[in-house]
Amino acid sequence: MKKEEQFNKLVADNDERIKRICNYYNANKTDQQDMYQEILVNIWKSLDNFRGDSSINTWIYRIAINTSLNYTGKAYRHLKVMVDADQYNLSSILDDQSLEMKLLEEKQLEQLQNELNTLSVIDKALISLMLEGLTMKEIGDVIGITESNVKVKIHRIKSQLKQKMEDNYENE
Amino acid sequence: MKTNNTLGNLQQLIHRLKNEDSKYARLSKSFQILYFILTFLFGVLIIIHIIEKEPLSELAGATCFLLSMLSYAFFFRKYYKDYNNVDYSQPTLMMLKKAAYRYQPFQRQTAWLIIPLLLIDAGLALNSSLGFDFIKLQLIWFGTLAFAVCIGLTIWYFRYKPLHDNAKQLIREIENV
Repeated sequence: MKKEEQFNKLVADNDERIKRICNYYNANKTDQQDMYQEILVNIWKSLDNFRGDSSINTWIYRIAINTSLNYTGKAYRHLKVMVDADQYNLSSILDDQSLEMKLLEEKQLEQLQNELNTLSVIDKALISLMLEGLTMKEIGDVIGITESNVKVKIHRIKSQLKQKMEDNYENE
Repeated sequence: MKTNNTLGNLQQLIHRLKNEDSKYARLSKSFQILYFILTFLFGVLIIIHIIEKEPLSELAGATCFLLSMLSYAFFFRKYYKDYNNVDYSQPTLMMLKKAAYRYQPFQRQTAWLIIPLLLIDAGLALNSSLGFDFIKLQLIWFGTLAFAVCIGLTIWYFRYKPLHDNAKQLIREIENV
């Protein structure tokens, strides 16, 4: 298959996935499109190196996450993780259904958004992969760390977020 | 309509990417050709020196120039490959480690560049027809190199150090469990 055909097929098959990743990081439509284009450019550049050692999903996520980190260098202050209560299962972040119900109130969702944006760039990447429904092993393959390290990190992020959300709730 | 737009944009992007690929390939090829032409010219010069039975120092000088041009031709090829083929599909940690290495001011592989520089210096010193005073030549040559290093470090400090520090910080963050 020619490079162009392979690229077209990859983009067509993974379009929604790439767009979702872009949406996590940018509230602004223009920024989403810029990041989307940058991911496509990097897919093109990396296509010659794809040998099928990892699954195509992992491959695409690696490019998307690595691009987002690179993007971070360019627009660090504007980078925000955006979650949408209608689209994503928030309990996967908080491990708490009652808290998730409370979050459905717009104000609290906004608080979660704010707390997510206080996370470090790497923690944001881990959360976005988790929201994508990747297993701990798959996340480890994307980032390049062991499954147990991913578990420890995600557990820490979740506890941190949950604690902050509970504190905020009690303070009101 | 929207699908048509997306397809149109994608085709435009592919066109741009292909142009970019061929532009880099052309640029890389041009530099390599330039170095290989210079290598060939010094090769011809060596043959002339041999035919005209010129002093051994002249022959050695031309050989030094030839070897330095040849080294640059190969270094350029390798550098081009390393710097323009950043693979974004590697695991993040690996990509960051490579970026941190790439953006550090002095790399182990850069040390090899000292050899062709010394060869040029030897070539200039051995080529008596150029009539350079040895001490003066060393002062000017190494002075120029020191100046070039200072300029390089200044560019690195403002352009690449932030990227290097950013990559290092992200590595620490990932490895810190």
